[in-house]
Order: sequence, then C-alpha cells, then structure tokens
Amino acid sequence: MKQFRHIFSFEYKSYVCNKVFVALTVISILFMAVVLFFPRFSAGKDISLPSISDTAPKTIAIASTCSDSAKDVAGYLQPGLPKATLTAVETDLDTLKASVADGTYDAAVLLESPTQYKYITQTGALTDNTSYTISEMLTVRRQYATMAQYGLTGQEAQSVMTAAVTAEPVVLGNDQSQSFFYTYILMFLLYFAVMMYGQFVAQSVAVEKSSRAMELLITSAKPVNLMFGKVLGSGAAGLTQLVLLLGSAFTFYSVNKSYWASNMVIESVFGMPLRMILYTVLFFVLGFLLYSFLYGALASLASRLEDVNTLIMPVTFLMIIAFMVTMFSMVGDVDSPLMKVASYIPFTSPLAMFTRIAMGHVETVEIVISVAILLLSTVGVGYLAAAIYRIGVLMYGKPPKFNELLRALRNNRAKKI
Amino acid sequence: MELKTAELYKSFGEKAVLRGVSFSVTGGRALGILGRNGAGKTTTIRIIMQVFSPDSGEVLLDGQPMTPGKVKIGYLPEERGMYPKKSVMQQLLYFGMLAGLKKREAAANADRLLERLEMTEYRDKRLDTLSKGNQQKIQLVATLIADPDIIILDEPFSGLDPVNAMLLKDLVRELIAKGRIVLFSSHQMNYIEEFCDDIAILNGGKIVLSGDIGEIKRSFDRRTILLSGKELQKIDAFLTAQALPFVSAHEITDGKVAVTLRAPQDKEALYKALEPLAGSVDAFVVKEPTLNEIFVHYTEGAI
Repeated sequence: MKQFRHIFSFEYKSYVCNKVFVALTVISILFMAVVLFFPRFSAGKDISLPSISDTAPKTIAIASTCSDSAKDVAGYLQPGLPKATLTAVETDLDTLKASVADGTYDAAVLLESPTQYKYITQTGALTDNTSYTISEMLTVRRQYATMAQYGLTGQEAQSVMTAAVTAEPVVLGNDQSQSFFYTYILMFLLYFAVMMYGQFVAQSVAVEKSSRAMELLITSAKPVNLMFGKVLGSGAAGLTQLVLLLGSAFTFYSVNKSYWASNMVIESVFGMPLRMILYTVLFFVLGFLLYSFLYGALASLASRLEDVNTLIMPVTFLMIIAFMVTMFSMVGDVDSPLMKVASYIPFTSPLAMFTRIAMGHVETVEIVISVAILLLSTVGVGYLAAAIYRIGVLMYGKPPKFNELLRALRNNRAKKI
Repeated sequence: MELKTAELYKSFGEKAVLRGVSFSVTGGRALGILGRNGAGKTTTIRIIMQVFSPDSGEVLLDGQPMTPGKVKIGYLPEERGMYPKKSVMQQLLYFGMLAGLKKREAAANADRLLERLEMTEYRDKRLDTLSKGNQQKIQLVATLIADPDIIILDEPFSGLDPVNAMLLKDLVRELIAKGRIVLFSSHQMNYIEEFCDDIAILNGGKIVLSGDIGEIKRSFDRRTILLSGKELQKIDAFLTAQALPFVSAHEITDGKVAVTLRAPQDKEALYKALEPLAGSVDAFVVKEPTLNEIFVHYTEGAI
C-alpha cells in the first residue's frame, strides 16, 4: 500500500509539475474567462459580427413595372430596412442592372407584379438577408391588400394577421431541448479526457520501458502497484484538471450570469442539474480507469515509442465507436435498442449511459446495474492489465501476437502479481 | 546469511530456459555467475528478484523460502536506464521510497552515496544531461540506496572508465567486507577473478560448474607445464629430439615452452627427462587454467 502511494504521488506530480500540463490548463481557463466575460465588457454595444452589416446593401433602388407605385413600396419597406436608404426610381430592368453594376446603388428591386419582384445585387452575399426581409414585408402587404378586397376593415385584418396559438410544453422526463447542449459538451469532454489521459498513460509506460527504467521499477515494485499507481495517478491529475476547468467555468458564469440571460445555449449549459456534473465525474473516473488500464497494458508490449500508437489503436477505435454510437443517437433516439445495449457494455457505457441519463429515460436500477458492470469490469481489466504489463515490460523486440500473449499469460500465472 | 537457489526450473512457452539451477551465495563471499548469452543468467536473477516465479524449485534465504518485502535486494540491471527527464535526486528519492525507505532516509542515503561516487554536483541535474558513465553511477546509487542485504550486479563495469571502475571496485569490496551477499554477472572474467571467491557457470539452463575459484582451478586438468629459461629454442629442440612418449605436444608461446602431457601424473617423468637441460631451464611450473579457459571449456558447443 505504501508502495502504491509512492507510485501514485510520483505519477500525479509528474503531471502537475509538468510545464506543458500547467500551461494547457491555464490557457483553457483563460480562454473560458475571455468567452464568459465577453458580454460584460460588450454590454449595451452591438456585438453582432461586423461582417453581417457590412455585406448588406446600403443603398437600394426601387422600381416598379406593375400597378404598385415604386414610391409607395419604397416608403413601405424603409422602416423594415433601417440601415439602408431606399430610393424610388422610374426605369427599366437593364438600366437598374447597369446602375447596380457601376455602383450607383448597392442593390435594386424591380417589382414586376404585386407578388413577384427581381432583386439585383453585385454579389449574392451569404449573410445578406435584405431580400428575405423584403419578401416578408411584401407578403404581409399583399395579405392586407387581399383582405381589404374581401371587405375586411383594417382592424379585422390586423386581428387575422396577429392571431397566434401559444403552446406551453409540459415535459415529464428530460427536456432534450434543454439538456442537448450541456450533454453534448459534457459527453465531448468525457470522450476527450478519457482519450487524452489514456494516451498519456500509454506514453508514460512506453517511456519507462524504452528508457529501461522499467528494469529497476519492476524489480522494486509489484506490477499491480505500478499499474494501479500509474493509472490512478494520471486519473487524479485528469480529475484535477477537469474540476479546475468545470469549477472556473461555473465561477466565471455566475459572475456574469445577468449578461448571459438572453443566450439560450449558455443558459442551458450552465443550467444543468448538479447531478449531471456528479455523473460526469463518476463516468470520467470509471471510463478513464477502464481505458487507461487497456492503454497501459498494450503500451507495455511496445519496445519502441514508435510502436505504441499502433498497439493502442484497437482501444482508440473502441472509444471512437462508443463516441459515434452515442453521438448519432443524441440527434435521434437516445433510448434506442442500440443505446440500451451500449449502456451496459463497459466500453461504451461511460458515454452511452451518461447520455441516456442526461437526455433519455432511465430507471435508477438501470443506472446502478450499468455502473456496477462498469466498476467490476474496471477492476477485472485492471488486474488483467497488471498481468500483461508484468510480462510485457520485460519483453523486448517485436510486440507479441495476441495468442503468444495469451500463452505467456497462462504460463506466467504467478502466485504473486 | 546464505542465499540458495534449489533446482530452479522455468520455461517460457515451449522453451525451457532453466533446467535445474542450484547454487548458493554466502555473505562476504561474492559469487560470479558466468554464462554465454541466453544461458539463463537474467532469468535466474529475475527469479531471485521475484519478478518471475519458477515453474518448480525455490529460492531460500538462510534455509527459509525468501519472502518478498522482507529482504532488501539491490539490483543493477544490465539494461541500464532511469527517467531521462527527471532530476537525479527526484528519481533517487522515488526508487529509495519504493524500496521502503522514508523520504528523509532516502535523501540522506542518496547524498552519502553521491558523495562517495563523487557525484554530488549532479544532484539536481536532469539525468539526460549527464554523461553515460555518470548516468551509470547514478544507477549504482539507485541500486544501493536502500542499503540492501543482497546485491545483484549485472555487468557493473561495462561503460566505466578506469577511474570510475576503481571507485566502483572499492565500493564493491566494501560491500563484500560488510558481509553482504553479492552476486556478479559478467563476461569480463578479470573482474570476476578479482572479486569473486565462488563462481557458478550456467550453460543451457543448467549449472555446469560451481564452487570456489581456487579449488576449481586446481581440480581442472593440469596437463600443461610451462618451462621458462634463456634458451627456449634449445629446450624445444631437445623435446623434439627426445620424442618423449608422455608428451603429446610442445610449443613456444609467450616466452615460455608449453609442454602438454598425456596425463597430469606424467609431470614427474618430464621433470626427470629434463635433467640434461637443468642449466637452461629456470622454472618448471604447472600451468593454472585461466577462468576464461575454464569458461570456454564448459560452455563450448550448443547452449
């Protein structure tokens, strides 16, 4: 136990004293600070991106070849396009095109009938919604005109136009519109953290082996202690980082809460229930341990650092599959049969079960069973990983094939791991 | 203290690496384990270190099965290496604590050993900034940091310059004098002869020879007589002319005439036959086999 403690603290310290690790954490926190403090400093100012207003036409010529007069239409449209200057002109299509082409006007509208018009611009900018606004407004104008024809008074027409049905949603389970964003972020965080720290473990094992520090380690400590110490040490470092990131994100948010009131995404992310954060930690810990044990065991088979990536590929794929399945289910049915199965398989359950808890409908007993399976397999995989590690670290040369490894494991069933 | 291996057997898959390895080392008497590459030296050491468990057989300390954790073993592996990116002291403390020391003890021992090996100035340097020889000395400190009862040194002198080799020699002599159990594994026979009282030759997973070096040498075939003197050509010519029946061969090597007898007991007959040359022969010596010759004799052929 003492040995485990030393290994654990050695591994933990080698992360938190690592300059790159510290820098990465600080940069991430600063980044979140910049994002979350942004509305406080830009409050009251127009924070829409400059490109949107820049690409919209500033001067628009209005012409008409139908019964509606260009002047009336220009006057009607002007309030809807406050940033543009609308000018009524008496001319034909070719002249309009020419005046847009030579830059006299940024854009031109040629009304061919009350329900059809040509919108002429130099370039069809992606962010330009002028034409959309004009269509909307002309549609409304046309609707009023038609109602007037049928003999409705202005007030009657107005009441027709403003009639709306309002809905009040009553969600019994998880409100997916609320939970989607934070689940997405947490799931991604979970995936990224497990993957990153798992690979750190793999690297660290391979470095010890290739530098031959392993020769000393394996003779001065038990493989189980080495494996668990290393994996848990890295896990603790990962958890520290996760807690720091989540903690500072929430702190920054609560300081600037009032400025974010109108942002639905941010509101939804930070409005997540506390239990989801606790589930994030639980599934991070278990998922991380499970994957790191596998990463560590496979890395112990590599003699050279270059071999590590090839060896750990299958585990990385497993993680990617888990991510894909969950990801695609999030936009479809999170409680689909595939997801149900995935939430009990230990390699996919950290992501699948987590997402189902956040967005779907799960009974407590299902969560308990899933977590229990995950927990037991993690411990089992941990011991298996230590056994592989014990054999692997002393094998030099070409990494063994799967059946060779199995044979070696059987042969080496040690009394003492 | 006595460390004993009793009939160790170990195979990896189909391959039988150890096929009954038995030897013993006593405190204060260093044992040299000799063997060609792949003879099973490292496997034997790893079984003693309890990295592997033997298929059968056991490791005994003073007659009792050795319990892990009870006895401290210091091991200098043949494949050297520690953490290249960490400071010398940081990793010495780590290995010291893994061996069961408290942090303070580990620091004190590390400082003492660093000073002993003239390495104090490198205390806080990163390991990969040190020269190869100095890294090896750091590794030696890691081996000895916990003041182990059993010390296993695998090729300890490889890569050391003569001055550093001298420092190490003194340190090893001191350990032997303190009554520690010292196991040497090396291909450099001169070092084995210098330090070890006993040897064990491993070949093909078996101990083919073990015991006191002096006794082994005396028991070895003593059929070669070395004659030295002023007129070697004359002695050689005399032997050719005589064509003594008990002499199987003779030649001049290294300023001596080496005479190979058909049997060791023919020594007396040769002595008598050389009487006419008494004036020319200065010395008549039975050639002691070198450790190298003994080693080659026992390990030649298939492993």
